[in-house]
Amino acid sequence: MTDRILRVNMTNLQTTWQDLPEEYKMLGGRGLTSRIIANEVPPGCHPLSSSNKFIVAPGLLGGTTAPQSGRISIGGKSPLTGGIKESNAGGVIAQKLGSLGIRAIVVEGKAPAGELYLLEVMENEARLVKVKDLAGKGCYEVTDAIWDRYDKKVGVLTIGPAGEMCLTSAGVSVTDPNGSPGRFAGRGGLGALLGSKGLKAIVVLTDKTFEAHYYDEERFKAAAKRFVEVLRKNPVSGQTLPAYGTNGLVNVINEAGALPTRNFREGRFEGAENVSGERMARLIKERGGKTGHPCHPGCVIKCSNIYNDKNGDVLVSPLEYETVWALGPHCGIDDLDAIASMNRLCNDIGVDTIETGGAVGVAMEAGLIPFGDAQGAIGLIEQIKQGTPLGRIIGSGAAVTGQTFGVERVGVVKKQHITAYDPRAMKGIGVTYATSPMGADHTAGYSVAVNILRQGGYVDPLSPKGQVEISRNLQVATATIDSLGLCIFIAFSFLEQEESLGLILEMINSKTGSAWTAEDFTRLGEEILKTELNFNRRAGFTEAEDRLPDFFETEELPPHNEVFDVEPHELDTLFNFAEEVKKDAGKAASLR
Amino acid sequence: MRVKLRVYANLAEGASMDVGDNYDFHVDPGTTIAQLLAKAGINRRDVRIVMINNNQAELNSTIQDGDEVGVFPSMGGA
Repeated sequence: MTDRILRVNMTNLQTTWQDLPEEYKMLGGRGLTSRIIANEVPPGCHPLSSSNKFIVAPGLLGGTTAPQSGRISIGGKSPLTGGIKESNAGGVIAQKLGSLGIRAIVVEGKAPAGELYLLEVMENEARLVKVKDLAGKGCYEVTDAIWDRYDKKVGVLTIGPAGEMCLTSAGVSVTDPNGSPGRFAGRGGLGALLGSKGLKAIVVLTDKTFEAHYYDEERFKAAAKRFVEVLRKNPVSGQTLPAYGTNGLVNVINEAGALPTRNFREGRFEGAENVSGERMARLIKERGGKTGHPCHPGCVIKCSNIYNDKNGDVLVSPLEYETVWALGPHCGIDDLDAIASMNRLCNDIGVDTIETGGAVGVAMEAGLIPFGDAQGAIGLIEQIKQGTPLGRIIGSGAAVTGQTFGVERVGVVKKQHITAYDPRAMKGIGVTYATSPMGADHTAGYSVAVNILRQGGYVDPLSPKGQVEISRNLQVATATIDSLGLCIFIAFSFLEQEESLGLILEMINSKTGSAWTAEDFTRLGEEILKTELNFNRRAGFTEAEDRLPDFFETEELPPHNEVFDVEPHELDTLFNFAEEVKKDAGKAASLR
Repeated sequence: MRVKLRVYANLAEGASMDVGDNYDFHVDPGTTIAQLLAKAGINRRDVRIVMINNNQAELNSTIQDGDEVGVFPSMGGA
């Protein structure tokens, strides 16, 4: 079977199948979305114009029995940052698309104003269907309506009203194995990009899940089986992640004095224990929810959860660390039920929880509502759904909110909000925030592992020394992992268990017939980053954008009373493997 | 001298302590983290992350009067 790309032209409402070009053979996920964007999207285009493209791609290992291989990458020129963007999520559609040999769906053009469509994707057929009844609907209602129309075995990707309004914090929802629409490719406003196309949802109509084709199935399955054992043996992926979810980090990061509190005023939050992973796990158990829940078929780590309300009814799934932080400590809120309610609201409206929490914290800084006011925060988020002028400002993210209300302390890089680790108390993650082509994104190079968690070595979090190197190495490895469609949490095994890399290479090689080595693994990561950097340079980004907001360099963060002091010239060495991209940047900028 | 110990995640369950609560310990000058853990009934092999007064520390780090110590097993997330 030949792998294919499905092209969906929203201008003439035609769908076409394209055999996968040779150039893309070894690319999947982020590697493929970024390469297609670089090849086909004019870097200078407006992100909401018909020239931009919305790309969905399972990883190279999507649809296989490899554990953790169900991440789906969404890419495009970001309506939030104006640069290249990939955001990935769990859920069921990566395994389905991988099983159908669909390596990417590329949504191009733009539907006539006021028209809204749904895309049906089948094994050899795709169809655009006009939908009037779904306009303005939240992600939960859309998902229910789609299941009523088809059945519960379909995979659903959808946007909420925020995406339809083209708000720059709008994300893309994907359904999980239990049918919750809570898996989000949240970052970078890609929901606004899909909304601008006039496409409300993509429905993948197949029961197939683990039916990708292999070069050597026997070899592949042996490696995948062994990789499951390795992941289960690892104390992070085998024990604490399933027990406490990602939210187990609240207490760790708070104890490290690095939990950004009340819009980056402090590094410790007095209410941390109330919103911690341990507390969450206890409440989930008492209320009949679930910890150790998989976010996609083939997930063996199971860091997800189902969080019930006081009455034992499902409130949200999952409740995760970054969300808890953004809507909690960042806003001075220590009520886990209120945070879970806000999470559900964000999922329904279809906005990124990190960007939304970031914006609400900035609104608190501006004095719209006081820090700690959970009901006030819920009210602000509800206004996003209503589309009020204030709701649209909040829904446009922290940068716009800060600009509108004259706030200086706004924690964004390339207009994307920083996440749950203060870069003054953990300088490695500050390097990643500053330099990632994605804008502030902890997942792009998770230096926290080395600064705080003691995984894969140790670099003093408070020293500026050595941080660029760890961020570089992690950014390169992560770009490759994102291309394989593997969950980032395999990294804890990758950093600690030598066997991991060999098993991943064995899976790549037995899937594709290639003979990749560790050098190829690194080379791919570097090439992806070069592609992304090149796009951003041609879109007008310079090294001046690879910086943290200056309050991080001037305001000391208690309790360590540190500032971010990695020198700018050191930050500029991060992409030392991409010098030719930098040299070409000036020339390319003049050609835009 | 007196120090405070805070224990997290499954270390707390194992030692029947409440997560994140301050437990006071009287120890001799020169006591190491490993010795404090033994006194608290926590297996040092289960401990991956140690912090003294919010700073990263090691099992063989010496504690001072008034120190606040936090210990964790292997933790992860993002």
